Amino acid sequence: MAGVSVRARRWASTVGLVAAWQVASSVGAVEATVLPGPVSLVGTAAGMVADGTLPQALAVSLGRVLVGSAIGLVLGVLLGLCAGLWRLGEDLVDAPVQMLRTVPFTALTPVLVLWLGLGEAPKVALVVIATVVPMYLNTFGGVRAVDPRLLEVGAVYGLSARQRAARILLPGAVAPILVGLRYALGLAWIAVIVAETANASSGIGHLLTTARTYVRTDIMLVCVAVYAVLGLVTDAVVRVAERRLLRWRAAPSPLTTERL
Amino acid sequence: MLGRSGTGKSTLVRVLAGLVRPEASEQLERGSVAVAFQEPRLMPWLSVWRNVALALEGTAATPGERRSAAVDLLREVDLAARADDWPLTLSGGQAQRVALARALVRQPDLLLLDEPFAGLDALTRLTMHALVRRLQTHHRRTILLVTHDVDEAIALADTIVVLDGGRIVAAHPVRPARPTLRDELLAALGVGPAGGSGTPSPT
Repeated sequence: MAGVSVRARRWASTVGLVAAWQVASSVGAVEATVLPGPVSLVGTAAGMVADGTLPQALAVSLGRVLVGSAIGLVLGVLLGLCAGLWRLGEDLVDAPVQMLRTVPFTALTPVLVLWLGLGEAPKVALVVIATVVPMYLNTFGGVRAVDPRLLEVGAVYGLSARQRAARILLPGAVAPILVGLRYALGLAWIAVIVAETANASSGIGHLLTTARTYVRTDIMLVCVAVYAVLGLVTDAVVRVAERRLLRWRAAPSPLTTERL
Repeated sequence: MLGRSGTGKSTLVRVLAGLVRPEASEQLERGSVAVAFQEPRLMPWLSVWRNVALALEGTAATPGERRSAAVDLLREVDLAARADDWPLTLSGGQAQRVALARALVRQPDLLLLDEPFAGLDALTRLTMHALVRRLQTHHRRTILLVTHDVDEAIALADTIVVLDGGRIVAAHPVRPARPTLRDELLAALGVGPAGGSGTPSPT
């Protein structure tokens, strides 16, 4: 395989699977109501884009994810800093957040409907709960993991608490915070699916449950594919942020990808 | 300052640097102190010149003054060309030179060097010795160099003290040069007289 580019090798298995799927559905090996072929799914997707249902649902879901995760990120980082920087903060903040961590956030869906009604609030709230925990844990852990020998440098040169936080603790915690961000955004999409399939009159999750009612497997699969693409896009956004914020890291050695 | 491992060298440095409070109630009057540690301890997320300027953040200097002072010192350690680079791209010797520049940029009354060359190879170490001598003729600071290399101490120091069990057990001026000084220091460190041609090293 030496002559084949890495990119081609990475795509080879995927393309093979899709081709096999198309062949199976063309010869009638799988029924269209159970699993429509890829070509007919592309047609369904094109139709959903053309009549506006998909863009509209996407805009609604994206809005919920953006608002919910923005709140969750800010809250999680602030709580993580409180607990990471001050002993009192850790004592007050850590226990309740750790308890929240053990709760599967999806179990809160019906409770949130009861508390917050049927509007946007319970959906956004579920996204906030899903994102705040990983952001908190990684910020807290990141601040605590900063090399104490670097903090001694700050102490020797008489830096104030604010300067030590801004120059040493925060930049030292950026890498773990970004790991938390990637994890949190993944959970944000899961939270929004759960909230929208439980009760919603709009969004991709609503599209999914409506399709189930009418046994439109093709629409359901398009929705699933859209979620996958959204996951990839959010991951790419975080990677761009990583490249920008962690420029100071030395170029990765070949050993980070090739172990043998 | 020479001493075997565990004789209190590092503790003394940390007390002088204000990193630990001495247990005895004696008041320690400290002027401005700067430290270069065994590891460079540069902030990897700050460019080289910002690392040097970091030592001035606690002072009244304006950002512009901090930058020009940092660049001046980087020029003295022959690293002006690397001012905008990231620390992780520097070699061990270069990183230690940046750490020296950071320590000197405050013009401290007392400069503590805690085995700053221990992690460097022999050739780089000789270059660093020359650099320290050059910086000293220019800045005229009081320097306390902690090492367990007797030859390094003789090469750089005006006065050598040997620490054992937290106390000074020997103190020798280096000049006028005496051929027996090296053996006397080794004896104070608990290393027997050098037999044959082998060079004993303190443990």
